[in-house]
Amino acid sequence: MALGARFPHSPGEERFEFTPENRAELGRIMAKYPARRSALIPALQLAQKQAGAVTSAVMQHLAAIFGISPMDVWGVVSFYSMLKTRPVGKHHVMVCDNLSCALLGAGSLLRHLEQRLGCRAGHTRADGKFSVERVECLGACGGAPCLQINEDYFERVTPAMADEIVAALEKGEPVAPVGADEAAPPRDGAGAAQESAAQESAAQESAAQEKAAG
Amino acid sequence: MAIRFEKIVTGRFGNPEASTLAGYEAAGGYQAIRKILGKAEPKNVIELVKASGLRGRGGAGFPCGLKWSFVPQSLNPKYLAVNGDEGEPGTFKDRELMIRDPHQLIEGIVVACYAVGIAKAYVYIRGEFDAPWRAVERALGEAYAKGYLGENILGSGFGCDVYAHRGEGKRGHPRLKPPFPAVVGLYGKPTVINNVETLSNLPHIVNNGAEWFAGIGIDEKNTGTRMYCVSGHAARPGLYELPLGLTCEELIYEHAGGMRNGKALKAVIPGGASAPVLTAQEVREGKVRMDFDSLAKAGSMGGSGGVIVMDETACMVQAAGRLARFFEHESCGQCSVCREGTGWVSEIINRVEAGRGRADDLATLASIDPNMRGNTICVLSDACAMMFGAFLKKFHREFEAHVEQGRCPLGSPYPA
Ligand SMILES: Cc1cc2nc3c(=O)[nH]c(=O)nc-3n(C[C@H](O)[C@H](O)[C@H](O)COP(=O)(O)O)c2cc1C
Ligand code: SF4
Ligand code: FES
Repeated sequence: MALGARFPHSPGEERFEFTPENRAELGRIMAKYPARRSALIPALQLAQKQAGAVTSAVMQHLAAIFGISPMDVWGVVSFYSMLKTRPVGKHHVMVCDNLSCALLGAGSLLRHLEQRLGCRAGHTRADGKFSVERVECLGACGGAPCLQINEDYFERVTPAMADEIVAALEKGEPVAPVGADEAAPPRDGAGAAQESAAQESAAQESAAQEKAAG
Repeated sequence: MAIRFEKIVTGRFGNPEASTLAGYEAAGGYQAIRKILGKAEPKNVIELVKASGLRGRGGAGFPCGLKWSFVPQSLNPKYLAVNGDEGEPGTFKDRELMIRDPHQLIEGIVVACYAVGIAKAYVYIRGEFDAPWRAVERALGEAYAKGYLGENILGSGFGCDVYAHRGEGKRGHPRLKPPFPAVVGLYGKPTVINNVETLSNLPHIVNNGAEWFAGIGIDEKNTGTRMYCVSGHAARPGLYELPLGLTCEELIYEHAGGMRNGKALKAVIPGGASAPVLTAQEVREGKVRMDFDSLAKAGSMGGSGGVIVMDETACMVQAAGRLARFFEHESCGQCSVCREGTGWVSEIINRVEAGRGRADDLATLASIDPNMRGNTICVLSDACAMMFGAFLKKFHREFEAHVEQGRCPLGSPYPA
């Protein structure tokens, strides 16, 4: 919870208005719920995607649409950590460091990424391409350590794998998520058995890296 | 007794077509609603679920049929809130259920709505979950197109609508109970709240009967399977759907491949971050079983099914510190004991771990614990107290050693 966070006033800021497509999408979302307000979080997510952040102009626009005060909107924005009041990078890298991920090297993975990207957790790189954030459990602990980059999950991430992902993103190449995607094998007993060999070598690699890092 | 091994909710996980409507139908899907809609009395469906012994898989393990029977029949509209928040650290099952078999969940939702007389269901999916959201949205579209949702489903006269949902558009503030959600819930209306895995079991109970379901598991109060989410130092972390009543050692050593690199087991958190930690000795000597009641008897809980396995290299102060930070982050701040308590607990434990512990820190922790229990709007505060209370009690020497030596005796194996 963002205790003590302040409503982000930004005087000279441009106005915000939904694109016609997003406005239409919002209309469809609103129609699904007995109370329009239930569309507020999806609306904030849409606006964040469009404007790069939930700015005060965004909050004022949404307050007008929903017929509530900007402070009401702010109350919601400040509650959910996925809603950002300042723009994050084009590729927002979220590293889980809750317990299951920490046990399997999330700490060294985070340090590795900070170095590789030249960007500390909680910051956005000057060129706006990357930002890094440490986050709580992503609900993918069986694939620890894991990352989320924008909407995509990456599981069992080794430092080497992280380098490959970053290199591809830097070149503007698409990167396929790794883990519980429809296309990936399930991680039940059978799936896990097949994966165990690959995983063991990954674990050894990250242990070696950890040693090297001291 | 012999435990019967049979997969229920993950039975189609190996079949990549199962996430589509055609694949789900080909694998026997949407037969349960054909069997009951307009044919079985709703109250008999509630009785069926009661007889199956199905308990909630979201955390509290409350009997599902009994929960349904608390909803006043005369009040309308009523809602079903499907809990797909998967917020408990260590848990990663509902995400897979939504991605791999979304129609199973939808069919379960229709069964629940029919039994309780509900016309609208909302599937709450956490904001980070994009792939599950897309999978559920796509499946909902398919189900509507085929007439499995909407008005007059399969000509039965019964209809219900299901929507993916991201909350009421408010801060996530738990509400004081009573009134209970069964009477005043979502949008102020009577609401059944069920977990994704709980609901995914329903089509199978309808198809195969209560007796079949109750025959899997260890006794009449612990029936069916659980999706055990094994993470941490097991050799093969992953999702294991196994009957309730297997021992913790069987789960780790026979199913999850034992311990990584042959290390010794030190501790297990058996039911997500809120479940009190068990020591290796407790697990071994008590032959602790992984069903709801056995875990409660062992002083912990089945919770959300998240099984976090830790080997001898793990530092228990560090583990408690990580979890404490989660509770601090999740506290909504309405209750001062929770807001202040989770903050202090996290600060003190992480200070002890960093070697900056003070002589009286452990006594302070012990004194915060009772205040955090039983005094708040929801049980997040109690969960935090249960978590660190168990670590502090069972690994007290390790906490003391941190303070005495002014550093982590295990060398802070997992630096932040
Ligand atoms: C702090 C807290 C967090 C919870 N998180 C979840 C969750 O992420 N998913 C879930 O299904 N239930 C969660 N629960 C339990 C729900 O309140 C509720 O009991 C459950 O969804 C009911 O469904 P069931 O009876 O089918 O288990 C949580 C409870 C508390 C007090
Ligand atoms: S116990 Fe904590 S999380 Fe629950 S309502 Fe109170 S402050 Fe919020
Ligand atoms: S602890 Fe990292 S995904 Fe759960």
